[in-house]
Amino acid sequence: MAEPLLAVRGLTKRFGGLVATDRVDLEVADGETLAVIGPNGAGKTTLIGQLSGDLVPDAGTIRFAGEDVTALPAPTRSQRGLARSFQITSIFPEFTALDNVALAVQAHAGHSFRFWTPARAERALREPARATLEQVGLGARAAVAAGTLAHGEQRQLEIAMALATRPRLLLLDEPVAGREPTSRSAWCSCCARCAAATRSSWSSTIWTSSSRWPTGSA
Amino acid sequence: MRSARALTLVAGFLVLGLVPVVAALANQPFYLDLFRRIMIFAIAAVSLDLILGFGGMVSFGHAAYLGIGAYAVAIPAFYGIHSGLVQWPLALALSGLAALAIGAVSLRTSGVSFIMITLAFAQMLYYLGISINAWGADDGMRLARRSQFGGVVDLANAYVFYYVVFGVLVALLWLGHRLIHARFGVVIRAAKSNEPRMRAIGFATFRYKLAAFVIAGAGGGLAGALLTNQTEYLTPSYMHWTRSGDIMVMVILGGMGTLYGPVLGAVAFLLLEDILSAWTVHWQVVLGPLLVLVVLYARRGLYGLLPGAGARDG
Repeated sequence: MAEPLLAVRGLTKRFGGLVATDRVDLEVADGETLAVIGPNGAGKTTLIGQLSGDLVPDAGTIRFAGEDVTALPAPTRSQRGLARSFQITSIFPEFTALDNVALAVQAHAGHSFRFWTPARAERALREPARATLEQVGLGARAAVAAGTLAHGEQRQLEIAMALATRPRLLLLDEPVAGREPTSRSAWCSCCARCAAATRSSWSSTIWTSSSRWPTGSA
Repeated sequence: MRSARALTLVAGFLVLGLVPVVAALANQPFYLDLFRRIMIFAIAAVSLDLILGFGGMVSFGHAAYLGIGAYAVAIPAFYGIHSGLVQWPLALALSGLAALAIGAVSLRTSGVSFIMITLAFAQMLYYLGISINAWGADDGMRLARRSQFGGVVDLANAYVFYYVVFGVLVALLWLGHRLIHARFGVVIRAAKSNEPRMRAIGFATFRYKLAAFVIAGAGGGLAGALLTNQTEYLTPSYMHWTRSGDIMVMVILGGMGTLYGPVLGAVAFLLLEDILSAWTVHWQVVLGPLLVLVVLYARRGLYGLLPGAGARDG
């Protein structure tokens, strides 16, 4: 049987006396969706942080796409196809929505030691970025400064930036947090559709704090 | 908005470009000297703003590169090498190399630590300068001649020298304009805005910040090479920490994170110094409150007060 896309073994992270991640084992196969559910403080974001490379685990290994990535820093993991979104919105507020997504495209379009051509004139960056914005339903807001977008729109932008890196594994940290309960289901379906469209094989790991994974059918 | 800004910029360049004409007509060669000095510091301030304003790296040691550039002219001259084609590339290369070493260490820190480390490196170089007796120690040394360019460009001619400095400044601004909008500049600005996010989407930000640090250092070195030519003198005080502070004040006064603001800051700072120091040696008594006012009420510095400067600077 083929190796799973993501294989985590004995992952442990302590903050002083608090064991935030306690010998976690998990596997995600290509195309699979995994939901991690738990109350606030359960350690969901800590787990995501270790998977994405922002936090260094105290013990355990993370294998991704057949390679041990435990020691790799976050940017390298992103280049390997691991993308994350942040629970607390993390965007570039002074840049337009389109600029935000174009940056994510740029990160995966070769090196950026290019000093001459204006990045905004590079169609290879702008067009995929615009397409991704439209996927998440932000097409009409492309030219708006990201910092002035409504909260829900910033959540959409957050996902768009992760999608634009064309990940093999998408780590969504509380993507529905802060959204109206009535719109959650639709938004989840949207996330799932978007992710499915970026690659034929994708996996999304979804955290919701106290509620169940609403669509269940992604 | 755009055209108002373009007009303001053209007017600014015209004023700088016409200073020699006015100085000649008014028979006041002193103004030529003053504005040349202003433009040299503008070059240093513009290069500092690349990392300070656009990149969010608060380097408190920019005078170090000014000093290295100055030494790169004065030491070869001391040994009889007067060619600017040797001295100026040497100034760029050595200050860039120094920035590479200093940046490689300093950029592993951030915030106050970064400020203090860059300051410490600059002070180390300053104390090195005042302790080398062969090269003038703390007295410094006279520059026998200005950099020679095979008789094609004669810096001994005050007007020629003025337009060389003017040309360097315009070229630097043009390069800066290209750079901050190109992929590289976007990465630098975005890393200032939100570095964890940059890393999460796949940018190894360190190498880009280091490259920006080196470019800024080389710019400072070039300003230093021009400065020794200007004063025809080398002194380690070019590297003193108060000089780093002066350049930083020019950037803040003119407008951090704007391309032309630092030029404006250099003009304002050095004109104030010139005018006020005729009245009192404590001229900074006036500068201080002015700086406070600018920081409090003009978020984008003096540049932000110009007509048409509201749009994001290009």
